[in-house]
Amino acid sequence: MTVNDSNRPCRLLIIDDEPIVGKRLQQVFTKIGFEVEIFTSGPPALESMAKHPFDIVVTDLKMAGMDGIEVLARVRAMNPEARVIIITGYAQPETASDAFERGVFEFIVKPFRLDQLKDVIIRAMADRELCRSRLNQDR
Amino acid sequence: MASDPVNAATGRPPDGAVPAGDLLETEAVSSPFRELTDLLAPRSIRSKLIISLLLIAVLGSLATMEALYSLSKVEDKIKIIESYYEVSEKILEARRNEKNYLLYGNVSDLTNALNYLEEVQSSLESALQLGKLPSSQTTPAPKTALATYINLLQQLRWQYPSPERLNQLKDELRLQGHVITKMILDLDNRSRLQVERQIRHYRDISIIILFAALLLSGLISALLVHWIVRPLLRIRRAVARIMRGELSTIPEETADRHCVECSELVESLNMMLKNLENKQNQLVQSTKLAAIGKVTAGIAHEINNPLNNISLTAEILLEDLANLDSAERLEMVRDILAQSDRAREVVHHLLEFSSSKKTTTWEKLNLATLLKGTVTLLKNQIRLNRIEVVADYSDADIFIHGNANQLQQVFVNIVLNAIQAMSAGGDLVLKVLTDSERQAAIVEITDTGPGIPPEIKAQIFEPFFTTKNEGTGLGLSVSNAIIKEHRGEITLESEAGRGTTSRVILPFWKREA
Repeated sequence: MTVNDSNRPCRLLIIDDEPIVGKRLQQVFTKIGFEVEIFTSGPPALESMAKHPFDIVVTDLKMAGMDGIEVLARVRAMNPEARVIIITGYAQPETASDAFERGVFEFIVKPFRLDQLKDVIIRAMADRELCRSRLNQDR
Repeated sequence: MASDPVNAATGRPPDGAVPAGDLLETEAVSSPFRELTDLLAPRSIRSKLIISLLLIAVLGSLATMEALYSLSKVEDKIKIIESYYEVSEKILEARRNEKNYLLYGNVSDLTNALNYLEEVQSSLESALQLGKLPSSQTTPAPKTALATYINLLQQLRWQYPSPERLNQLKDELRLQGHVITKMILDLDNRSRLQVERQIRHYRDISIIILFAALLLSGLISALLVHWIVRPLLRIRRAVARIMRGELSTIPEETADRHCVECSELVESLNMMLKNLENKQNQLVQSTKLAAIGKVTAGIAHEINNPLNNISLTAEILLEDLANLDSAERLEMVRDILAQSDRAREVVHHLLEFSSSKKTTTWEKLNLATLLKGTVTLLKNQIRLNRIEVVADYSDADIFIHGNANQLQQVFVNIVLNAIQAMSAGGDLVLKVLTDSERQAAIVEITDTGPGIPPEIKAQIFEPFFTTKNEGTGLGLSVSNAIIKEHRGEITLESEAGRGTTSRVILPFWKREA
């Protein structure tokens, strides 16, 4: 696997139990050169990640079964290089600080604007500098 | 359903009850007339007791006065008997002297006899003055007979008659003496008889008064029972019906117009009930707010998610409008509409639940609709606790009569408890069953949590009893009060390690009779 090839497209994993979120984000980020995979729950997403690592993981916090914090922990364990962004409909401050302790890259509260998410992803890519998309080429 | 017991309460028991018409008539009569009727049929227990005691006092003094009068009369009669006795004693003395004279011819005996007779005359005078005796046909008037006798004695004493005349006078004297004795004995006898008759008369009056007293006390007791005890019993029955939830206030007619205190009691009890009801409503409202507090996070989530979907979709539509084909645009617009419906539904249920205005509206309710609303409100909590909802009521059209808002609160409380019992996930089974024997619907809510420990089972409906740090301990006790008000019942069945089944039993909706 060519992990250090900074010219390959960024792989983006989106996990949200709201199907519309995945559908729309896939639509947007595919268009700007990401390789996007979407899931509505944690376990199949992690399965896919085990086969082919992702650079950036965007996950919902509150999900039935496996929640965002657990996804974060698993991803960090599997691939410490991956940046995890958590989006949530409602969060207590203690959940947020817990997520930061566990190494979340950013915490975004729903409803968010697309640009907000794009900015966070740019920062994550800059942090990682391993992959490319039209987002970092533009700047 | 609600009007039925009220109607039953207005129907007074037939015995001794006063029809409502009478009440109006009494109100209409002019005031002096009413004072009179008040006196005859007093309106307050106080005046009734006073009048009863007055009657007893009057009767008592009447009896005493009669006894005193009888005693004084008897005393008089005894005096009469004594004076006649004195008269007869003196007459007998005079006759003894007369006999001595007739035997020995001693004139001093005549003088003695005349002296005695003088006393007899004055004694007889006073005896006759004391009381008239009924006249007798067989004996002559006592005074004239006595005068004749005295006259004969005086002739013998002072006129010194010839021997023939003397013998004739002696014969007359003997005869007249006999008449006098007989007459006096008869007088004595008659006076005794009369006294006896009068004593019997007074005794009869006493017996009549005694019977009147017995009758009157019986009557007063009966009336007091009727006026005081029966309205109180009726109030007690009404209170019992309130406790069973058949009535909400004591009907005013429960106390009748003969008992002002009873009407006042009914009024105060009703005021107290109203205050209690207000307090109860406040309690219901505050526990509802506590329940809302518990679901706030879930509700924020339930609103923010559709909002996020809408804003994402709209933003992409705006950016890419030109590049999207019409099918894609259509799908996105439909998504926006569906998501705004979703948010609206959550807000609608939340408002419905938190509204305090609707707490008094009772209507025909479909239990399945209520349960669906409950699940919508708690959807997020259910999902996040990895709870599977098994709803077994979707096609059940079972109606009950009640207040949607309060019943919703009960179901929210019970489902929240079930969710909190299954923090590690589980199944929540919701069923609506019917019990045709009880004419009732049963909402069965079963969780697969750890169950209720047997040692706290008895306290579970007590106010302020809670096993949770953030709980108020009012959820189930208020739910219980609400269901009782709906004439229903909540039962809990729990098996350690297996879970808990809560049953809310509510009477079927019935077409108003």
